[in-house]
Amino acid sequence: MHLYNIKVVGRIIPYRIRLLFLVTACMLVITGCSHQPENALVVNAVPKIFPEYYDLTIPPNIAPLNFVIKEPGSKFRVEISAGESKKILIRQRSPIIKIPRGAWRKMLSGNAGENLTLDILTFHNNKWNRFTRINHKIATDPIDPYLAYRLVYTVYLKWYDMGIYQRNLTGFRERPVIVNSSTEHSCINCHTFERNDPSRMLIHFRILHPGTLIWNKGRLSKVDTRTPNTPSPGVYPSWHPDGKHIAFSVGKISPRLTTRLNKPVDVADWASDLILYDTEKNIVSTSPEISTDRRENMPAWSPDGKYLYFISAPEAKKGDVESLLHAKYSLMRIAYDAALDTWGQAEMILSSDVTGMSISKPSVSPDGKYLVCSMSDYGYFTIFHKGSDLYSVNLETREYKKLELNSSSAESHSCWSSNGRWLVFSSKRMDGVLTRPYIAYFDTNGVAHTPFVLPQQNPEMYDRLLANFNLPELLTGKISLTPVEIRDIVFKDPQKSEFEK
Amino acid sequence: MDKKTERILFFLIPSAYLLLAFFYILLVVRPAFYFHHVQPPFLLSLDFFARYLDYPGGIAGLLANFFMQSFYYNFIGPIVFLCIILVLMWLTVKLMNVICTSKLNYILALIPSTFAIFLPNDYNFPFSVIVSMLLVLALLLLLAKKGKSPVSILVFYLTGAVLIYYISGSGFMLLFSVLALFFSARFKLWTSLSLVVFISGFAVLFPRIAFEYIFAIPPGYMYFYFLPPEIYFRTYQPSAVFYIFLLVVPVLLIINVIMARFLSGKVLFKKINLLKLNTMIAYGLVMLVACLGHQASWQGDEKKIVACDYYCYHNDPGKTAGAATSLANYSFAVNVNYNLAMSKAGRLTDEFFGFFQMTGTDALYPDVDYLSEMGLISMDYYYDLGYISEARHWAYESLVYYPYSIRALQMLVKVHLITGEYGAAERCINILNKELIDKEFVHKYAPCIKDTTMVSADRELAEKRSFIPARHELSPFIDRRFRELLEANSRNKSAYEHLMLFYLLDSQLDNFMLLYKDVGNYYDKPVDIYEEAILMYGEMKHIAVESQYIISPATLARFQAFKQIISQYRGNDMLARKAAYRDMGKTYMYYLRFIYPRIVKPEIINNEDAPI
Repeated sequence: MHLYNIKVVGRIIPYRIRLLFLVTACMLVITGCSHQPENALVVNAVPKIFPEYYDLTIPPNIAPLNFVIKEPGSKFRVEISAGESKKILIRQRSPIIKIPRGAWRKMLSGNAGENLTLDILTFHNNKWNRFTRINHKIATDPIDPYLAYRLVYTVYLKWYDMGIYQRNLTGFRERPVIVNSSTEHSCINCHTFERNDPSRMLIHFRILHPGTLIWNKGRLSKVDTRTPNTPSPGVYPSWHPDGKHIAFSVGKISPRLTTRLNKPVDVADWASDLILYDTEKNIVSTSPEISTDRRENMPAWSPDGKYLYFISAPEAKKGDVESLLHAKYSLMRIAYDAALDTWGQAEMILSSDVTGMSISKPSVSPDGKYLVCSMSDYGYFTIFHKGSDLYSVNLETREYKKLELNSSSAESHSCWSSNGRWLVFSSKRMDGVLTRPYIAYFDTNGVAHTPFVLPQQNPEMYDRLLANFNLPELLTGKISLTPVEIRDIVFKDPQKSEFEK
Repeated sequence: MDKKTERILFFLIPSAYLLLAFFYILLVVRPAFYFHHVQPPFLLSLDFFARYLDYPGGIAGLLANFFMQSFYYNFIGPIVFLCIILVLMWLTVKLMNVICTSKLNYILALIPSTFAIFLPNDYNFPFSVIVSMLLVLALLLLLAKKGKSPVSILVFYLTGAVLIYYISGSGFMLLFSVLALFFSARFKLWTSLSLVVFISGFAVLFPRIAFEYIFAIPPGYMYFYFLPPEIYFRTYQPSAVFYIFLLVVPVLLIINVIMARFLSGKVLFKKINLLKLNTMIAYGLVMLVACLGHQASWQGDEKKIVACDYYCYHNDPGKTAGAATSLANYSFAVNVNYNLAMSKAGRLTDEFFGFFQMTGTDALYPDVDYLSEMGLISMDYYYDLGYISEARHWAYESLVYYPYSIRALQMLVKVHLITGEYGAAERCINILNKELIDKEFVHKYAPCIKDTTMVSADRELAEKRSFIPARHELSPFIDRRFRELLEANSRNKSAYEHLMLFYLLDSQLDNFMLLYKDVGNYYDKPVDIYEEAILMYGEMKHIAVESQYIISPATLARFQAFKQIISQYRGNDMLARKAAYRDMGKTYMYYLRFIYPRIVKPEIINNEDAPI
C-alpha cells in the first residue's frame, strides 16, 4: 500500500502516526462533547444542598441565598434565571456557591412576583449531571431590611459570651449592637422594639450593672423597674405603639434540668404578673385584672394599642412540682385606653382546655388580623421543647391552626415584618440543638410558606457557629446607637422607678 | 580573655543552660498539661478568626492559641515553646546591643527568657502575654534599628504603638511606649525631650480616644489590658514572676545604659570591652533568677490536679493514682478523677479506698456544686456511667467555659451519635475537621454520619445507647440517678458499683445488703470492700453474717485484726487510727470507723441567672 506522506517542517510523518493522531483527535472531540454541560445526564432528583433552599417564596430584597452543594463532584455549575433577566452563571470547582450580589439584587428587584429557577450541575464520574430544577417565587412584598438578634453561646444553663447584633438582610453585614465583653460579661437579654422601629429599643442588663436600657427616639436612659410592690424588675417586655408605655411581666422564674432529650430544660414560673411602665414618668403601674393569683406572662400589644394580649396559667400550688412545671397557659387579652390610662376586663381568647396545649409567645400581625404563638405540651418557655410549634389564631373568628412552616424540632418566638407579610422565627430544625432564625412568607390568606434560614455569605458558617440566635426581630432600619454609647450608659447607675398604686 | 574561656562562657554555658531549659519545659512545665487544662481553641476558618478582631488584644490571643496547638503533642510542644523562648532571647540581645554592644548581653538576655519559661507553671496563665511581649520587642527592635532620626522614630513609634494596641491591648502599648523612651533619648536634649513628651502624651491620649470613640471595651481595659477576658483565664492571679517579666526588659535596658556609662566612662552607644567579672556576676544573676523564679512559680498541687485529669482522660489509671495520692492537700477534682480512672479501668471496687475519700458520697457526684470547672470531668464521669443526657449536658456547659474545646466536641460527637442526633453530630465533626490536631477521631467517626447503622455496630456506642435511663426530671440525688441507670439496664455494672459505693460511703448498709444479692451478676470473684461491709453490718446488727455469706479468709483475718486494734486502743481514736492506717488504711472498715460520717448536701443548684 502506498503511503501518502506529508512533509511537516521537513520531516515526513508516517501513515500510522497520522492515523493515531486522527483517532486521538476524534476521541477528544467525542469525549469533549460529552463533557459539555449541554450534554449533561439528567438526574431525576433534587440536588442535596445546604441550607435547604428548595421551593421558597423569597423577598425581592433579600441577600443572595448562598449554599453548599452536597453532591459529589469535581466541578460545579449553577444557572440562575428569572424572567427576562440575564442568567447568572456560576462555574467553579468549589461546592460552596456564593452568588454575585449585584447580579442577584438586579435579578430579584427586576422580577418581583416572578419565578426564580436554579439549575445545578455537577461533574462527577467523568460526566456532567443535571439535577431537578429548583423553583423559587420572588414575592412582591419586601422584607424589613434589618434583623436584630442575640447570639448567645449556651445550650443549657451556663453562659458567658453573648451579644446583640443587627444584620442587614439585603447583604451580609452584621454589626454588634452591644457585646457583653464590653460590660464585663453581664447578661444581656430581651432586646425589644416598638413595632419594628429601631429608634425605640429596650435591652435588659442583668447580674453585673443591672438595669433596663431604653432608647426612645434619641433619648437613652437606664432604669431599674424593680419596686417594693413588684416581685422583680420587668422581665418580658412589649412596647405600646404610643412609644410611651411598655408592658412587662414580673415574677420569679427558674430553670430545671431534665433527662429528656426532647425537653432538656423546664422553666418554672413560680409566680408572675403584668405591669405597665411609663417611660416618661418613670412609673410602674398595674391592674388587678393582670396581677391576679394566676400567672400572667408574655405580654404583647395589638398594633392599635387597644388590647394587651398575654398568657395565663393557674397559680402554682406550693410543693406541687406538676403545677409548677407542667401547667398549661391560655391566651387572654385585656383592653387598655392609653389616653385615659384605664384597663378593661381580661377576656379569654383561646383556652388551653380547647387546644390541649400550652400557649406562649403571642405576636399580633400589623393588620391586627392574626396572632401567631407557639404551642407545646406545657409551660411557656417553648424553645426547649422539641414538640413546640407555631400556630396562627384568626383574631376575628378565634380559629386557630398549626402553621405550615413547622418542623419536627422546636419552633418558637416569632416576629412580624412591618408590612405583615413576613415572619421571622426561631427554630432548631437544622440540628435539633442550636437555634437559627428562619424567614417565611405569610400570605393574605393566612398561609405560611416554606421557611428558609437566614442566608450567610459563607453558608458553612452555621456548621461552625456554636451560638444560638435568640429573639430575631425585624427592623425597618438600622439601630443608630453605637456599642460605645450603650457601654457608657450601662456603667451608670439606673434611675429607680416608682410604683403608682 | 582567651578563646577557650570565651567559648566556654559564651557558647557552652548558654547552650547547656538552654538544654536544661528544654528539659525543664519538657518535664516540669509540661506543655501537654497546659494544653489539656486550657483547651485553647483554634479553627482554620475565617468566621472563627473574626471573633478575635473585634477588640484590642484579640489577635494576640488568637496567635497564642495557634502556638498552643503544638502543646497538644508531648515532644513538639516543648520544642515550639523553646523556639519562642529563643526568639525572645534573640530580640532582647538585639535591643540591648543597640544601646551597648556587649557579649554580656547574651547572658543577661537569658533573664526574661527564664521568666517566660516559669510563667506557664501556673496553667491558668494566658500564653498571649508571652506572644504580646515578643511583638512588643520585635516592633521595638524595628524602631531602634530604623529610627535614626526624630521623624523616623515618630513614624515607627506611632505605627508600632497603634499596631501593638490593636494586636495585644492597651497594657502592652504602654510597655512599648515606655521602652520606646529609651531610644528617643539618643538625640540632642531638646529633640529628645520633645520626643519623650510626645510619646508620653500619645501613650495616655490614644487609649483614651480608642476607649471613648472606637472600641466598646470595659473601663478597666482602657490602659491596663494585659490579661485576656476568656473565662478560663479569669482564675489567673498575676504573681511576682508575672510583674517582673513585664518589667525585666526595661530594667535590663537601664542596666545596659548604666553599665555603658560606668564602665567605659564614654558616652552611650559606643562598644565596651568585655569584663570577666561582670560575666560571672551576670551568670550568678541568671542562676539566682532561675532558682527564685522556679520557687515563686512552682505550684505543685495545682500541677498534679491537672496531671491527674490528663492521665484519667488518657486512661492511665496508674499515673492517675500516682498523681492523686501525691497531693499535699485534698482536691475534689482529683478525687473524682481518681474514682473515674479506676472505674474506666474496671478497678473501682479494688482501689476505691486507695484514695482518701474524705468527702464521702460527694465524690460520686461531680456536679454537686454545679461548677463550670468540673464541667469536663462531669461530662466524662456521666459518659462512663452511661448517663448520656448528663454527659451531653455537661459537654455543652463545658463549651461555655472552653469554647470549641476538642475534648468537649469529641464527647458531643459520641453522645449525639448515641442519641440519634446525627445532624448535631455532623456539626461537631465538621468543627473538629477545622481544628489543627487529632484528625484520627474525625476519621473514625465521620463514617458513622454517612452510615448511621455503624453506630449500632460500634460496641462502645451501642452499649452506652442501651444504658440511657428513662426520660423524666433530673433527680438532685446522685443515688437516685444510679438507680435510674440500673432500672434502665441491669447490666450496667458501673451504675451498680457506684450505687453500692454510695451506700457504703453513706453507711446505708441495709440498702447495701439488699443490693448485694445481685453481686453475682457483676463479679466472678469476691470484692474485699463488700465483704468488709458485710462483716461491719453483722457487727453493727449483731448478726452472724459469716454463716450466711461466703467471706474469704483474708477478709476475715483483716477484720479480726481491725477489731483487735480498736479494742486495744479503746477510748483513744487517734492512736487507733494511726495504728490501723498502715495495714488497713485502704479498707472499708477504716473508712466507716474513722472517716464517716460527714455532712453531705446532695442538692442541685438551680441556676436562676440563666439568660432566659
